[in-house]
Amino acid sequence: MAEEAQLSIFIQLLRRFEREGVLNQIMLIGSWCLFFYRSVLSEGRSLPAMRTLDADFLIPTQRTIRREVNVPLLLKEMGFVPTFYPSSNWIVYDHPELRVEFLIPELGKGHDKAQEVKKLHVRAQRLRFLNLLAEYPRKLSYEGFSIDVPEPAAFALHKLIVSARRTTEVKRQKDLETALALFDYIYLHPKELDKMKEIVKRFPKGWLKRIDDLAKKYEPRLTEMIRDL
Amino acid sequence: MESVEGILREELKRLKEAEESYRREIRGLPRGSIQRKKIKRASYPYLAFRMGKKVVSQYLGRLPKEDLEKLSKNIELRRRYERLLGEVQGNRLRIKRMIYGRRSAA
Repeated sequence: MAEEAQLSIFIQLLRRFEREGVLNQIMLIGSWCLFFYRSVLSEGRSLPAMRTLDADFLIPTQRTIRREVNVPLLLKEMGFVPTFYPSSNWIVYDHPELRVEFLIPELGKGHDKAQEVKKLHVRAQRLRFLNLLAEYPRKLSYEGFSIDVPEPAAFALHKLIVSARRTTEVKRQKDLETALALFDYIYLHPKELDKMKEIVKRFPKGWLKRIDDLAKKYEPRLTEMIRDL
Repeated sequence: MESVEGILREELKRLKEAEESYRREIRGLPRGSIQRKKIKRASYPYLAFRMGKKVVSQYLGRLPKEDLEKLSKNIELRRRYERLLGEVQGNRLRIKRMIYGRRSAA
């Protein structure tokens, strides 16, 4: 895959989103966050460079979308085409180098259909545990624009939680590898570690148990931390 | 290594879906180019396109300027999508070669 071409279209997309007032209403999640962690965070180069071709954008439910923007039209102008998933009513946007997806936190069970976000004219797939990312944004500046990504600690904890729910082994393994690499980074940076403690402290009991079970298996340092809280 | 192959397989699936999406969009857009024929002193717009080995010139009639502009934009969009479809196909082939090797990917 032509990595430069992919990065170029991704940066073009972010710049366009910023110009149209979309970027400050959404949050970048998924493997592309690693690119920003690596580029912006101090000693971020130790983090893995692996990223998929999906650019995932989270639409946080706690924020009100102030500005109406026809995002599909904007993507069409950039050469993206919509790909439909009739079973879930979801629409993603494809380009030879990139796929753009919109996601939204699933609040409670039983919502398997995508949710229409009228002000952005998109349909977002509902997924569980995304609130964990939405509640802990970190604004990063890169080449003249700023972008919201999740706190690395929230990102790592989220990856660990979802890894256990994956049905495919390959994805589970990938999530786990990313989470563990981030944990290594976090444990070497006291400020990041404090942030993780703060996040874990506020976890609901069910999540805490889930994390503790996973930590016992993969990340014993986390088990110790949970015990200390 | 397994995880890299998994990513490549996922990407292959995504590119197949992207290829279908580009084909669908292309089907809905006009092909050819707008040409103007000068007959006596007046200029008349025609849509010229290939049908098999033949080149067909279809008279567009007295289309309003806006409609003609829209048609021209859609022809341009079709060309852009055709180019991007080519890129998708190129990427698919490249990934197939990464997974299955050069011979079996062809």
